[in-house]
Amino acid sequence: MQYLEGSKATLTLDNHHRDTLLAMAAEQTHWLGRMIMPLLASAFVTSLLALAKQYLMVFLPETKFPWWLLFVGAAVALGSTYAAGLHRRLRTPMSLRLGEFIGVMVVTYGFLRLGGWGGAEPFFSAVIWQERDILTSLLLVAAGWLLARGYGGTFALLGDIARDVGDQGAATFSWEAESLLSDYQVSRERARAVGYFARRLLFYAFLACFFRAIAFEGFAHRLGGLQGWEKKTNVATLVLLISGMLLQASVYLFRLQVIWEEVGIRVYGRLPRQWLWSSLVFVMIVLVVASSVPTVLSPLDFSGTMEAVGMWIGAGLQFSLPEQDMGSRSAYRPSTQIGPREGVEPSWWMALFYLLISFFWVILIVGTLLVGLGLLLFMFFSEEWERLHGLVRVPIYAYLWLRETLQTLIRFWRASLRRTRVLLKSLHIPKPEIASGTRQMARVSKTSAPSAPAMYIRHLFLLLIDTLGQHGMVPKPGETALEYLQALERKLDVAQDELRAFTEYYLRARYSKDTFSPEVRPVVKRLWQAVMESVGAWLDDAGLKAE
Amino acid sequence: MQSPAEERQEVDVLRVQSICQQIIDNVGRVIIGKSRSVELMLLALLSEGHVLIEDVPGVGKTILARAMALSLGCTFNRIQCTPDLLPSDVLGVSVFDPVEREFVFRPGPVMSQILLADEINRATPRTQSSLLECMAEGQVTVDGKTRLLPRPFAVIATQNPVEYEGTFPLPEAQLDRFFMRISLGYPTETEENEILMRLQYTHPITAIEACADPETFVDLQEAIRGIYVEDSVREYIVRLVAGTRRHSDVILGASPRGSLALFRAGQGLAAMRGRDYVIPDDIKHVAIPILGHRLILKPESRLRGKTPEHVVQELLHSITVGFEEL
Repeated sequence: MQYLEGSKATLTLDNHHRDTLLAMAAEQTHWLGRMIMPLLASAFVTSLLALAKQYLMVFLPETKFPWWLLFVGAAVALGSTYAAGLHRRLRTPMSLRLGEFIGVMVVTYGFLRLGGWGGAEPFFSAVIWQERDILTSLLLVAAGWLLARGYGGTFALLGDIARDVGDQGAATFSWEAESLLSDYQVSRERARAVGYFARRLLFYAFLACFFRAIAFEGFAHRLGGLQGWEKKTNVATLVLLISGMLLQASVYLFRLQVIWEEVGIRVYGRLPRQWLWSSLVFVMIVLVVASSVPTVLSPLDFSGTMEAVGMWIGAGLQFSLPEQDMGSRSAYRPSTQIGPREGVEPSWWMALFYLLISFFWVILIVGTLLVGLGLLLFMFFSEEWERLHGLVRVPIYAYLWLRETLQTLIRFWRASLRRTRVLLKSLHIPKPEIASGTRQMARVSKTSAPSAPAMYIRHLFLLLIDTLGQHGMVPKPGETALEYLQALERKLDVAQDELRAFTEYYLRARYSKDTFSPEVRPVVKRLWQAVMESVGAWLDDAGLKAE
Repeated sequence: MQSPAEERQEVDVLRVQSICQQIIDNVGRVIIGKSRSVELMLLALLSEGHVLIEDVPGVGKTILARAMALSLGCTFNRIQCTPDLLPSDVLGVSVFDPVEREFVFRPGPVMSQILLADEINRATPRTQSSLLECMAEGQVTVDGKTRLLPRPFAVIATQNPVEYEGTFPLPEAQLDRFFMRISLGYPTETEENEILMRLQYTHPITAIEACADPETFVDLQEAIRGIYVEDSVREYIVRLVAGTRRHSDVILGASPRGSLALFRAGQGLAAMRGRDYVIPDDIKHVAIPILGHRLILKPESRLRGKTPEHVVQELLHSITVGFEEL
């Protein structure tokens, strides 16, 4: 599979590729990878679609959905999960993937038209795209296709990583660490393939809770008119949680299975089944416990919990959202008029100002669109976006640039917070005179000459860099003493031998454990004087010496 | 009370320097104009480390390894790594002797003092990982029996950074076990001219003779451990390695094994240069070959064209060495 991943070949259905397809199908021998994980992913995506549909019914009450939409969504998600793995393994052309997407959309659209949506308009009519019902349904199916695609691609990676690093992973039983550490041209997403499912589950569970809170707090009056809304939403949420958790459990199981097969450990037939069964029981226990705690504390009742917390805080958690009545005019319409007012003398400055503002707005809007498009493309093509044509990559570059800029700003912000904290601490806590024993050893007196020969040599060196430092020649942050003295040697025309000898003495005094005899003292002093005279002459020549 | 390091006997650095210089000169008869690479390889072997040579084909990677083994007077074996190479082809295998009616162990090429694993990234991960134990512990375990490898023992592996088809990049766990990664690079025109002249009739490696023996070299390996490392130099090593872990372009920084490698290389280089103490410049000299292959960069940093060598270079420029403070 590594070979296939690295291959630049694209799919043409000749004999070779048919054989490859058959070989891949033969490799998918375990029922977890072949059936259970795609089904669970499909259930997860379908539950998300169901939740989206439920909340759209609240937020956009005029929108109508066909009853079969979820079935189509589930089928599309299942197909997309399987197809994503094939596309990734065979490195199919981008056009084929786009073709698949367009095919799915056309079929869904066909179903919608057959079901009576769109009235008497022709099949491919531009007016149809203004129909909110059709557009919303198509978008939901497209979202399902895209989400399932991510799962399918990750399943393919799971097997690949396990096969690539199987024996090492089995040896250490730290498969994630091995895959993260190994350099199989992996991105972070691939290396964290296992965590992918947990992160997705947590993110969508959070979204479900968030929209539930908004629906209850801001649109409670609409919920009354929707028969069975809460029941259906609860079922969809439960399916989301159960399928998400089972998916995570299956992924771990699949990982073990592949590693065991890779290293030739015999897998007892019933063991994976037992594991899956026990994880199902675990999930059920979690749900039962979550359901049995008092309503206001249940993790399944987000709005109730938040309300209770708000009450405890004291002021309560009450916020009102603006009424989103599509029929009436918005209460937030700006009353100000854009552009210069009538009767005001036109000014070039003002025109320039408007031009700049307009330019800024254009940049902002175009940039936002580019970034949005880049995000979509990045999600759509995942790690294979580098295969896109150069011009199509531009939005992705814009998106990556924005992401990186934001990350950098956040890093700066965190660093500044950290430094502020340190600064505040240093203002309050008196600094010790000597930070550590090591530093005490490293410090040499500049004012009085020490008696020990080694310290005396270091004292002379300190005086040298002090003199040079006063004329701007301070050591650079990463510069060593030797580099500093070598740089000085290049500048000085005379006394190079003395400087070299002095450097040797200094390095020994600073970094060795030698104890010098007292006779060294006058020798080093002579060398140092010669160097200082040379430095003085050089500073005179350069006109740098202080008056 | 003296610390164990202080209790050690004084190191005869002049002997170390003299022998090392002889070896470098000897190898220099075969490898022309690559004295830094030769010096680094010898330093790695002196520090009891393994070397990964990464370069394009035809620049003398294999010849360098052979010349080094010959100069040290060590036994030398070579494995040409291919995808069908098995761990037993490397470590050895027990075969049934019908005469004696018992299994007899046939040692593999790993049972040598210098092992050249040519194009190591063409072997499968399973075969690559079979080298882990011998690289880390100087022993191999086959059929449940552990056998010690001869001393000195070093693995010199080569890999070609250009080809990716049909290769299995070394996992980080294995890369970390290589003491340093070096590359030779193309020779200059003058050097290439010299190579052609010298190789006109015979290859100089046929005439190369040992200028040390394995026992002497093991003595040198043990002697350099007594080289003095002052506190601030040791702290510098630690800050440098910690810096790789905090760097914004890095997902995975260097391990403590990296710190130890820097420490040992500093000692070795000091001895090779005739000093019995390490200075920060020794550490700077070896930081890139030792730390470069231990770092994993973020994908976006790689996209921007950054390399681990850039990261180490940045750290060398930014981390203060801390000599005298004003």
